[in-house]
Amino acid sequence: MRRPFLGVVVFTVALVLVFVWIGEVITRVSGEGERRSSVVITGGNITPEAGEAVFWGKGKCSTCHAVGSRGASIRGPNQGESGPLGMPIGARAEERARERARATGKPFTASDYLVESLVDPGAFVVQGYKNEMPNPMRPPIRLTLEEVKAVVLYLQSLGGNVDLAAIGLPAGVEAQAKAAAVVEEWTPYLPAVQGDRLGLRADPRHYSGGSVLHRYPQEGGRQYRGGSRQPGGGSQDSQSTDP
Amino acid sequence: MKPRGWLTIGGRKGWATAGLMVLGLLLLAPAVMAAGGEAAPADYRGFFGGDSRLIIWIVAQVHLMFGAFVLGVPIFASIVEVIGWRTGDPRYDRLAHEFTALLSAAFSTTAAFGGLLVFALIGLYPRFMAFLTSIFHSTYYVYSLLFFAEGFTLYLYYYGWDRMRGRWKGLHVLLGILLNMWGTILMLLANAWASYMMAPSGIDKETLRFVGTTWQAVANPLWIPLAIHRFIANIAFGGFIVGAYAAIKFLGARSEAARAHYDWMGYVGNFVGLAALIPLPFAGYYLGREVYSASPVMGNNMMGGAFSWGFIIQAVLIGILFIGGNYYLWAGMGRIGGAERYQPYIKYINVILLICFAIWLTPRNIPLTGEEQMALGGQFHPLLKYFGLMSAKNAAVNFIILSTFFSFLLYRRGNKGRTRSFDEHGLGAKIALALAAAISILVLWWYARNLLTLDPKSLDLSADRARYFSLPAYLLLGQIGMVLLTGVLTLRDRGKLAQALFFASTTVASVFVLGVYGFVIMEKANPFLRNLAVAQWLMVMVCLLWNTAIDVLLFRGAETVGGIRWGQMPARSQYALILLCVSIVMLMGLMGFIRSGLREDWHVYAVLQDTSEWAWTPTNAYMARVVGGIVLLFLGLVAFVFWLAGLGEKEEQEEVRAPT
Repeated sequence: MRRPFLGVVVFTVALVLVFVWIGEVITRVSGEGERRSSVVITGGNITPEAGEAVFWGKGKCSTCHAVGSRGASIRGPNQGESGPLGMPIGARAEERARERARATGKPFTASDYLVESLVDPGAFVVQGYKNEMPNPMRPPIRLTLEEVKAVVLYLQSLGGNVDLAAIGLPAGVEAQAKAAAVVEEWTPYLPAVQGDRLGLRADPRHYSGGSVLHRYPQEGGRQYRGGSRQPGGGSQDSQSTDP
Repeated sequence: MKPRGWLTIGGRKGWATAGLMVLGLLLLAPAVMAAGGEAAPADYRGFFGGDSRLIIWIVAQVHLMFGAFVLGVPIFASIVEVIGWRTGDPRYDRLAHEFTALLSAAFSTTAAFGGLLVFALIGLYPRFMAFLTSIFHSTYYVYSLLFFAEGFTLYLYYYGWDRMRGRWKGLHVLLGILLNMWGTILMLLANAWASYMMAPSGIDKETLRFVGTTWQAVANPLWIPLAIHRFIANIAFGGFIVGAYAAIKFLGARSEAARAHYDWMGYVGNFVGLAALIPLPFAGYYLGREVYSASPVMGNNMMGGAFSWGFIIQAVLIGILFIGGNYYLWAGMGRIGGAERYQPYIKYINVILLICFAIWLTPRNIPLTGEEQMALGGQFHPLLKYFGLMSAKNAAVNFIILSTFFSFLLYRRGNKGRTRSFDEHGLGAKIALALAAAISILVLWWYARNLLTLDPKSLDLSADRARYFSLPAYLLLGQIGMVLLTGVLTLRDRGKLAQALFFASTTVASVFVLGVYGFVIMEKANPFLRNLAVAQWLMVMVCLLWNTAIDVLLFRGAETVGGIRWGQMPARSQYALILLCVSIVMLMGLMGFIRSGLREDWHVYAVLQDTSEWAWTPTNAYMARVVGGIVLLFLGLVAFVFWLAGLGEKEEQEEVRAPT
């Protein structure tokens, strides 16, 4: 019994070592082990380069968007020349701004369109794509105002005019950014379990079948993380996408 | 079998449990010592000044692995017992008893690691635990009570095995079902905590405070998808572990009878593992889809971001499981008289599996240098880029499943000769065939109708995109026609032709037509791809159901052209079983890392941030080292626990009788 068991042990250890080796090789070829530069953006260094770092880093934009031949994501439109309309986003934004102006009846500049795409991504969704982009100013991404402006500058630099002064943020966005930036001190929750301890009683205020980042219809002027029940009793939980 | 001490200090398992408890106390000591001088509650504590996250990672993963084993094994132990009970074949009863012996040995270790995990979490992550407790504390008591219930039921089930034979057997079977019920509810509760951390519900969007109820927190969006995935994975996990146990026993067996017994046990373990493995990719797809729904950021990070390489490793491991399982089946055909007739088919199945495996693990985005990109003419290879997309992978996995099922059918008919006329099977067979046909048709009709009435708006698509929904719907309807045609052929004693035709039509429709059509959908109506994947999967599942029904009825009472020589298996086939076991343990470790890692620097995603110094995402190299260590630790502990459990069975082992 000992000899066959020893053979099994050697075989098992060899398999595990191959697994470890694969992990090492992947890290080496993908470069994930390299230290990435973290950019701290302040009012003084809002630049396209800083925006590029956010786009490919903290902002996680590149998990959905490629830029030309850089990156491989296809979930969102390519922001380079191979994107919708065959134009890079900087140039495309001019065309989109005209569409938005017609649709809303308000003046729209290319920068306005780019800002809107970031802070209210569901306002205009390109044909053929889903309304699934989260607001990057909210958790878990939580871009600051400066970072948003830097990303807009980077997008402008892709075929458009780079103009920091043209970037105007809608009212309320500043407060939203400030609120999201604060890591709230959490205090233990206990008092809410009164009467219905297991919560078996229906409570129309909060519905558990939604998600933290979905866009849910407002109800009573408030939105709840985790979704909100729709008036008809159903839930809007159809924002799924495919892996 | 003599009852042995369970948790008594003198018993071997008692010593194992006590040892683990001591280990737990040792692990907690630094946290306690560190807390000694604290004036205010800490958010985090270090472990001997080291990495607390690593400790939690190891303990949680080992607990989860033992948990998967003790939840998976009773499911098929109960089924095997029922088969033995209904057929009156004592071999099945002995096998079920042997499975349960492994289960009882692992149960106390699972519990000890669970306790260790809770203590370590309280000690090292007090702020997080306070948060979780504030929401879930009422479920803790239910969990503890259920644990008592499961423990007592297990004692009764295992130690009452011999006493409850004969007229009490039905009650014993009921205990087995009860054991599974407690285990499943326990798993559901623990899943609620883990899935809540990924997709918290009942949180006020503005204040980030929990304003919901405990039930709302439990019924979070990932609760059921995770439960389904884990339930199926636990069965596969248990099956492959049992297979490896049998393989080691087989390799060390001294008598032909023992070799025959453990050969059979290994075969059952592999069968259970493979059977559960077949629906697992789809349960994983469902879970992945819901992760996307819960958070697009998390979802995209999973397949397109920091964890995408992990999925390549996952594809490799799943490929090994399918290829290894098939290899074992083919090796097993060597011990079946008459199976040599089917040997020529094996090489074709091999080629299909290898091609599909290659497609499955082809990444979309290969890291390339500037020179390599120039040589390639861009970031992507002109042909291979298509294999990296989901549509190609869906087609590949469907083909792998169909091929594996085909292997199994060849194995089943290895020693079968001329079949009887269908009329000889009587009315019961005709009713069974009609029932299987009705289920198949209903499933296909249901989804075809769904697709034909699907509102494009529900997928954020314009109305003109509805035309892309028709092809899969018509193919589903076409499969209904094939069910009817092949049913008629079976009744007219052309069952083998019927099976071949249905296999062919499913492969053409699900793998080739919809596989290629998926690329069109990705370009023209991308959100519809998920529905297309469901259509493909349903076709494959119906093929498995319908072909199994035909096969069972077709070969009932068929002529036997050779016997099964249990025990006459080459040693390399047993190493295939070991390979399957190690692969699924590594797979579980890897996927545990991915599922948990997706939260990145959040304890509770987007609600409670991890501000500790360990809140960084490990590289794949680091992950592989840690998971590799966990795998060796788990397998070492399993070997030790099984050795302890088997010490008292030495004499019985020699008396093992071979299956006939």
